[in-house]
Amino acid sequence: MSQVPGTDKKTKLLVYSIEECPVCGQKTKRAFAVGDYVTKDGGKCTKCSNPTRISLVYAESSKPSR
Amino acid sequence: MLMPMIIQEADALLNAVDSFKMGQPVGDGIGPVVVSRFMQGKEKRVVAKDTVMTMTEYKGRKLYVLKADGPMAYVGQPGVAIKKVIEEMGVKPSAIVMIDAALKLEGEKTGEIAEGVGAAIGGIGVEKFQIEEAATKAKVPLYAILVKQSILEAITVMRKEIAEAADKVTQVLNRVIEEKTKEGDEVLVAGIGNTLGVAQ
Repeated sequence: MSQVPGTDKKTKLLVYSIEECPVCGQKTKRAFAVGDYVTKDGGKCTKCSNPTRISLVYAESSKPSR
Repeated sequence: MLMPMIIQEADALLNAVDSFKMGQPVGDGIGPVVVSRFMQGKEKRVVAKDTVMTMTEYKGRKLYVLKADGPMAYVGQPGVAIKKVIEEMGVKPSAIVMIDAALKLEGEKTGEIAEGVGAAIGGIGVEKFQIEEAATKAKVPLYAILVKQSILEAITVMRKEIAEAADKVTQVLNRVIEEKTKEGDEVLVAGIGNTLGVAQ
């Protein structure tokens, strides 16, 4: 998983890609993989099996690592 | 007195290296993220260096949507593009809506949305002048939608708060288009910022 330092240096940011199904709107959150970008085709939707698209890539802070 | 600010800027640049190396969208890319939603699956046309435009429709309005050519780390030439669209392509927009990231003050929340008028674009002022000149000549009002963030957040991987503002910005954009224009009008929408990790 991609990790980048947070603003206060104690927290690490974990980067996620959000795959969204254009048909049923189901969103799946997974770890960012190199090569991911917004609008890239994703995997199949877990609900309706239609092809998904990456709608967002963002970072969230995790607990401080020791 | 200046040292903490210099260190903060240096830290921001150092942290930015990782995001650019991995091709992750940065906070400054919120404008391209929003407009890319209008461009998916549509035919693109290069209107200026590293800048693409798509024509689409929204509630009877013809939208001309432009952004830098992603997912590479381009900012494009929105000034040249808007000028070309208005002056050379003969498009007569009833409004120009610009979406960009804006620097927040220390107490402000990341991801807050500000709405206003004028050209929402940074830099040394050349592009701002080009856009304002073209808009003034054609008597087109300029509207701006801004997403607040710090300098560090603008050049490092996009934070959740900023990414989640994309849905709200889309709603604001739709409202501005509905309120400020009528059916049959042409509207120019520009997503300003670094389009790293954001295709169209």
